Amino acid sequence: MSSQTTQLTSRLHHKLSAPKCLAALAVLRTLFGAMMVFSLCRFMANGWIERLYAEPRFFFKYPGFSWASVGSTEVMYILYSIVALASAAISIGLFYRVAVIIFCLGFCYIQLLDVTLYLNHYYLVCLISGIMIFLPLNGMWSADVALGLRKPRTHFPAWATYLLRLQVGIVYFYAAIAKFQPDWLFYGQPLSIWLHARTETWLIGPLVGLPCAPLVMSWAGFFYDLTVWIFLLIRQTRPLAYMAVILFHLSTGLLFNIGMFPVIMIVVTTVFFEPCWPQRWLSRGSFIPHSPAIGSSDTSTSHPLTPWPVLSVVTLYALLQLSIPLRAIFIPGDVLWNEQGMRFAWKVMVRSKGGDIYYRIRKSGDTRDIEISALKYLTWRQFSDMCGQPDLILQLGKHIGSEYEHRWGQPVEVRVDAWVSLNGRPPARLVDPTMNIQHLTDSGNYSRWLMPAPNTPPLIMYKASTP
Amino acid sequence: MVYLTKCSNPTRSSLFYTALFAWAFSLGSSCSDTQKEEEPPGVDGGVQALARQAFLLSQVDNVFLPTYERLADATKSLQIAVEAYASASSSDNQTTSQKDAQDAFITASAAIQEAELLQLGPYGDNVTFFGGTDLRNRIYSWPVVNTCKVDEETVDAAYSETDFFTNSLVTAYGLDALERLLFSSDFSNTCPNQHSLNSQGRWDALGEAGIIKNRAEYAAVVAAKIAEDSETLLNEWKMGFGEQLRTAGTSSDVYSTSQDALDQIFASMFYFEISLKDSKLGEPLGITALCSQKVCPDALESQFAQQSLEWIQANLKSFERLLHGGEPDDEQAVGFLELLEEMNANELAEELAQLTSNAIQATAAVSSPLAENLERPETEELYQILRDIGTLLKTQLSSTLALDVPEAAAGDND
Repeated sequence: MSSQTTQLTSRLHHKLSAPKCLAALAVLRTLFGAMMVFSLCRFMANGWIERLYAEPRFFFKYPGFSWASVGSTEVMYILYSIVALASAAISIGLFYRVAVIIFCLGFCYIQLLDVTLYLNHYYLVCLISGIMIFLPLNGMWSADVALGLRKPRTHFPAWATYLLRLQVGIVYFYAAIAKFQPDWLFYGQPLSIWLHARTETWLIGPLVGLPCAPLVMSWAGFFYDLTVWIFLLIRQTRPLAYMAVILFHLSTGLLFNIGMFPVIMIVVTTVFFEPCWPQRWLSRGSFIPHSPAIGSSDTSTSHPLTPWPVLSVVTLYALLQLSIPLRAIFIPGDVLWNEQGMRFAWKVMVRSKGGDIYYRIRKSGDTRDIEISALKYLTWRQFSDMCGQPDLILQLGKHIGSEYEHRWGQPVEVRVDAWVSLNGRPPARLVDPTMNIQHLTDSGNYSRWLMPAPNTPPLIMYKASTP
Repeated sequence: MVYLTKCSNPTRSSLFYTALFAWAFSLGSSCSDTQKEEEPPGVDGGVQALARQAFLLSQVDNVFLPTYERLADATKSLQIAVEAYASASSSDNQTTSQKDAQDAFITASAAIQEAELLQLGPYGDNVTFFGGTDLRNRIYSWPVVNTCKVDEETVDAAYSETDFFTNSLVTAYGLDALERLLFSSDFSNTCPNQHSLNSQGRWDALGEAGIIKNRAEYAAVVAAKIAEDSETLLNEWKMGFGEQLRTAGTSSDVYSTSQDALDQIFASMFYFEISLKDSKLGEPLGITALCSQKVCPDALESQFAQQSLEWIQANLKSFERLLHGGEPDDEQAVGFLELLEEMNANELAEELAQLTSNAIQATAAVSSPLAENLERPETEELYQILRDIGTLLKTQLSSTLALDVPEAAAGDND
């Protein structure tokens, strides 16, 4: 290793190890916990536990996680209550380490129960809570400190803040990359379809109903995602960038049924603030006396260096997070159509799909098909979610096939009539109807049994007339 | 607060964001002037909401209210005819009046079938639909039917008690029970041998004359209840619910946006998919898994009156009215087709209209009773057309109009 490289590595090591105020992350902990209490209580208060876990006859599993199974309604309420209590404990910083571990495991388990419940922002919550396990965010403003359960701590190595910033930045950056496609940028789809239905939204409804709104907002959304994290990193532009974050997410929250997504993004984006911002705000308002020790200086010239193994793990995590969303690039075909590389890739709200699916089962060697509607196994919510997702179509098809093999006591063939309308296009076949999927394995090579994406443009809306 | 003071100086990047959001959310006068001038005063939500409100007005005035009026009239006539049958004394009179009652049943059942796709508000269930009171299940509970229960009540004569409807399940009354009572051509019952009706000889003890008498009296009570519930439904719509749908997104207490109302009408249209296509045709045709034979005539909807095909026709006519927002030849009507045209999805609108028209024609090509024609290619063809329509409903129509399928509101999205 040359001396120049050694010098650079050493400087980077010092930079990542430099102590930063813990205050911003303590505030993040408080807000994150409170937000998740609210989020989980919503599920219980709105009767969603019954609808999501008691009504379906079939749950889609993630590969390798078929062991994650839904319990009885009572068990699900208990699980949600435990995770909500853990969230509350995180928020006030009580038994923090235990609480955050329980939260992360419990919340991840909930997400693993049914693939149709996958949401990008809940994936983000899993990742953020996973990172939080390794950070002493109860070092400040916590019940643990107040009760003497741990020593107060005002600083933590900079890598923690940088890692969280990277994580949030990745969400925005890849959300922009996902929008870099013709439907979004040239046809304003699917925004055009969605905005058309949201013209009565309070305050901004009339604006989003204007003919040029979908295209304008598509481009604005693209540039916002592409650049906001950069402007959040720059001290001079940060306040306005954060105002843009609030404005953007409040607008999308008003327009679409995206639940906690806006709140989660507004909260986690605070990681871009100066690490000492809470103390500065409080001292500005004379809530607490200004303390030079913790208020004005983030760094000191001499500080202990973070061990290399820790930084190696952090680097590995960062590289994984940077590379996982890229996998769609290496898979042939249109990701919006075949959905390969869609999950865990921050492709947020970039496609509108309507689907219809029937399974055709026949005894091997027989010529007569019987038709099974996917709705016999799924709720409408699951049905509308799975119709455009080939891996889920395969999973349910194999389940139905196995069920009929058992019922009939002989091998069966399973074929699929799956029609999907992508961004308002006429419905096209998603799956080759001649392919027997019963013995296909989900190897990731879908080209054998999927039909190519339609090459027609999406729905081009707005003719120049009024009703 | 040094930090904020420092950062409050606008920079080029800050100005970029200001401009970006001003651009995105103010959108400039260049794309708004024309539309604003065309909006009538007092209408929020632009031309899209205006189109939806025109759609809702048309649906209420040209589809829902006329259908419920026909339903109330037909069931009132049915009540009169069945009461006449019940009070007929001589057997000659009884035969004539039974025929009249059966004819009135056929007319009323067609009206009920037209209302099947309009299970919205008071007519709908209270889980899926705002303002749902389950009136539909009281008028007609199919596919939840229990002819053995009807036979049992025929013997027990509990229908003569004042609290019969309070204490009975929906399977003991409604159109399905009435069909059994008016069209049963023999004196057997549909209960298993071990049922007390047979094991204790209660059915036989009633005798043929008793069965005829009790069936007629029971039918009169049931017909009166159907007429009463149909009148209640019409009044609910006339007195308030129709107005709630008309004013969705403006002054409605039920629907905060016109899109919510549209979603609910779309949800009611899923009767087409689940009941019409799958249960009424797919299962009897042996296409779905519930039928293990080549065909399953026992799965047909109308087991006694043999009206299965006519009821499918009535469903399709109602579906066609929903698409057109009224009668197909009414040029003023605004239905789903006009909304699609407004969205520039003309081809989809034309395809839906054509397929629906084809389906109605296809029902005419199939001979009634359907039970005897299940294996004919015309019946299979009818099913295929229904399937094509169902696919368009669930794919391009729902996607183009941003319609939420039932239950979609549970949980979040992103």
